Amino acid sequence: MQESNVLEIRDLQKTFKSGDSSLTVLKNINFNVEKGISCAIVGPSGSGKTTLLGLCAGLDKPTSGEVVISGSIINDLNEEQLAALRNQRIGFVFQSFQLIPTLTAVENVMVPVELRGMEYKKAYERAKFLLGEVGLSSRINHYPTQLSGGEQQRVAIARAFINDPEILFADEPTGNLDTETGEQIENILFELNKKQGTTLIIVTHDPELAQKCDRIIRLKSGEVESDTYLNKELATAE
Amino acid sequence: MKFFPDLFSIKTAWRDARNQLGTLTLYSTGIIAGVAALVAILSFRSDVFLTVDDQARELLGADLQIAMNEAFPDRVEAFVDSLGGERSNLIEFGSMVVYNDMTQTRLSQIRGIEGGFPFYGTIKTRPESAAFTYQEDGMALIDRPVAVEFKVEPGDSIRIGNRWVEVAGIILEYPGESAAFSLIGPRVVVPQEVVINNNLLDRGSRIRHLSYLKFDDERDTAAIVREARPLRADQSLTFTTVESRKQDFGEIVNNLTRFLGVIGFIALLLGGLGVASAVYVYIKRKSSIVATLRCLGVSSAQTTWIFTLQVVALGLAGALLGAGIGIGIQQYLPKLFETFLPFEIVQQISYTSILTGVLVGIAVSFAFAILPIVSINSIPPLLTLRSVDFSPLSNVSKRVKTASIIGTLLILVIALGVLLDSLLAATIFILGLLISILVLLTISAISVRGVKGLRLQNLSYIWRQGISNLFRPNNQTSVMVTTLGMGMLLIGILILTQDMILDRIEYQVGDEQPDLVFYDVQADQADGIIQIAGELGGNVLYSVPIVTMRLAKIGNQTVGEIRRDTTQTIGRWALTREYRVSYRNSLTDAETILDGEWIGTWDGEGHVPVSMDYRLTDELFLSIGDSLTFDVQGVPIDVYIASIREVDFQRPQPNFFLLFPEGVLEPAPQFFATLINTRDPDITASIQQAVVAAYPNVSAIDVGLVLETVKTFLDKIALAVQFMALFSIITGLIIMASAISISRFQRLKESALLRTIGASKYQIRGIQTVEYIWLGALACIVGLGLALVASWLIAWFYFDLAFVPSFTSLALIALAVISITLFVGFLNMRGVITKKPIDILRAEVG
Repeated sequence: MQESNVLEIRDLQKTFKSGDSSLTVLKNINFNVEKGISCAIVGPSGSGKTTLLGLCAGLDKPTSGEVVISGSIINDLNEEQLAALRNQRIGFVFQSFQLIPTLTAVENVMVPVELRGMEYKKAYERAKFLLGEVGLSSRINHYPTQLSGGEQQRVAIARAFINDPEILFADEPTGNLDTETGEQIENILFELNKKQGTTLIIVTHDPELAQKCDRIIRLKSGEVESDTYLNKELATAE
Repeated sequence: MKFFPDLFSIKTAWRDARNQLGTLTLYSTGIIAGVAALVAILSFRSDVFLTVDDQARELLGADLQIAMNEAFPDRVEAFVDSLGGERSNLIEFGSMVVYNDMTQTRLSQIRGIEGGFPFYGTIKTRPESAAFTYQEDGMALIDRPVAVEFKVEPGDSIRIGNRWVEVAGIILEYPGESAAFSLIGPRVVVPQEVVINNNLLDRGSRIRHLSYLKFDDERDTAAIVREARPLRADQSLTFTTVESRKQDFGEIVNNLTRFLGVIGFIALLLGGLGVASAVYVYIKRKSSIVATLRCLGVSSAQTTWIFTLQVVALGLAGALLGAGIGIGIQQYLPKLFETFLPFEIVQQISYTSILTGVLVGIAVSFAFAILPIVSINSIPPLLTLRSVDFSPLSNVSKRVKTASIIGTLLILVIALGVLLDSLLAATIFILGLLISILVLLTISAISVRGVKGLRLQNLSYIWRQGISNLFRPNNQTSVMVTTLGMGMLLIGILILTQDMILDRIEYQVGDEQPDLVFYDVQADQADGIIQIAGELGGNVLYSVPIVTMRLAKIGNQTVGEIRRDTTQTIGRWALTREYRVSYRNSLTDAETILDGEWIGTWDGEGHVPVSMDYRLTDELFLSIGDSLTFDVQGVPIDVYIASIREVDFQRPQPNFFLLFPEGVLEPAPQFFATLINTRDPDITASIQQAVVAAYPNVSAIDVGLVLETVKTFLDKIALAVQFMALFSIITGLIIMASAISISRFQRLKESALLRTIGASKYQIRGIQTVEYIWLGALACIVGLGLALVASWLIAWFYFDLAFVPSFTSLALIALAVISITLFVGFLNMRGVITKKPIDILRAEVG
């Protein structure tokens, strides 16, 4: 593995079994993702985008093939080890925000570092800072139900960045938002991606969002149909 | 809304429900325990009445019982003779009995029987033949518990008074009496001639004379009782017919089962509260479906019917399930009461009881669901376009809310009215309970909110997240805390009050209090007993003379005249009772003069100055200076009220309503009560044996033994009440289990999310543990806290005691409930940790 790759996917296959019948949703997937870039995974519904994201992020196990994150093969890790890996190296942003309704905005952001045992005050300060970065300084003590969709997604982004992840996986991050709010969210994501050097992997239907990324991997019927670099420098390096 | 649902509503109700029947049943589980408790107790009552109808004559043992506290005077005797029929006489009194050897003595209930009593039913004995031969053979039958304790077998001997009598058999069952009768004192049945001419009947003992009659000609016994009314004017004469015994017994059973039924009903009400909360969560979740239906043109009446039908059907399912469980419990209820029942219960399925239980169950669950159902109408079709967190109840107008709540209360009053046979009692009870539930709900809400504020920064993340979980959207925390809390409130009060009663008695058996009491001590025996007690290490606290007398006149009016005078309202008790009176020249610590002057010695001139307790002067409408005449065993003595006292009857010493001065009663026939402090059970036993050996007529009360008896009695009663109160706790746990299951998906999602961002299994389990511990702890704080307050009030107003609660008992209950809460919580959360996060995150909220 090249040192510059933060994620490597080798011969990945995923088959779902139901009784006697089986359905292969991903086959022969191979690609590497370089550190610090933004990469969009696009494709029509049912092409296997979310399945691929789940496998890359260690939320699910492949039927065959390997997922390598920062040089470590994660296939053989047990659930506890995977949880620790996600906590330390990975951030998530979901289409439906997935905030914990019983916690305030700042408390939601603090969760990943608190799980690692960071002391309250330090965690609070860091969360407050990140909420400021996403423009929510005045709403840190609001509960999710008291926030708009765009605000909830901004909280989710702050949460995703609090543990300085190496990779941030975003599943249709603007799917539930209007165009204007969606654009704000995109800008925040890319800004933080640049500022913190985090690798950004976005699953999306939105061609405009995909066009803003350094690279686009297009899936069709469970296979990589095309892999395009929009950032010329990266293309040359490849 | 139309009175009947149309076909569309029925079909849609079914189509909407069919795919989620399992989940829907969860909503109705709250009422299961309550209905089970009701069906069980109603069936038990029906079984008891069935048995009573079947064995009514055996309850009395004859067609008519005539009883007096003295030998029948001639005119009563003549009346009884004139009735004809078959007659059996019985003399009943308490006396010391020596079992087998002189070291084994016990104050026993002696029954000297002459003739064929019982005419109906039999005294069941071991050997069986003993009940039929003991009279002829001049032998005794003795109670099983004392036979077991002292290892007395048929063929051994007991001593009653001066006579040794051989034991013919052991009493297993006595007609009309429950096993609890043995708690008062062992029963000993002998032929009447054993007790006559035995120095027992003429020496102060309280003796009851009874005659039992059996008629072969279907006589109207009620008419006999009416005919005998003139005889009863001045006498302690009582008549008991089969019907009146049945009624008395029926009343006791009715009161007991109503009381227990009401405790069961509380469980049902709490269940109803759980159903209401669950139905509301259900309807809130269905908001988008309701909105869609409305968009498609379904009328508000139709949508209301769709969900009303589902709720009623769920109520029916829960009630039927509860009824099934109730029938099962019915089999075991007689075990709880067997000590108190004079017969073996005949059991059968009572369809009326089941139907009542099921209907009351449905009514209660429906009553509580009214408000959530009414809120359906506030769901706007606009929800289809804009998905927001909509709260139907907050959009219901105040008028509709008030009307719904009144409707709910009306249904509850009618449902309880059916159980209690009284709408007034039901109304008062429901209002009282409503206040209690509101207090509990308020305190629960305050506590829950208090805990929310407790999310202290220095707590670890697991603790803070666990506490936060109590407030997740659609949480039913307050309802769970209220229902669990109500069960704990009931059980808490019960345990604390029981402890209080026992503490009160134990206080009276303290170091300086009497632990052995002799009564029926004759004047010539008093000194001898004091000597025996002194020699064996006892400390004689009191030796008090007692003279029996009856009230003859108040002023110039005889008791008979007063009783016939319809303008007089003096109670029969005060006029006709046998007064036990003492005399002395000074007052004790337990007596305080309220009015007049205490005169300790009579100078022999004029009326005798006596002192009376204020309760008696109130009862007889007397004041200072009023004169009365007492009949002291045939001798009239004129007295006047010189002073009115307040007597503290709770002091463990002989206390008297009426107190004479010295110089009047000394020559009258009298007996003594001697109170001795020993501080040692062995000394108590040796004094008792020595006194009984020397003076067979003297009766002894071992105070320690009495305390044990009271404890046993309270334990048995408490067990029955606790058993019923347990249903409230079970209801709380069921509601909790159903609330956890209802919010299962939400919990799964939260847990998956936490695992996605890196929480370990240990952390997830920790968060859940904190949540359930807090839930149990809140219920404990609310329920037991209120139990403490209620018991303190009982102690203050009723027992006049400084309240020292037993925190050990409370801590044990708290620990048990918290552990069970944890157990139920984890049982419902199986699989949460093993579920793949990706599956949860993909699924939509259902």
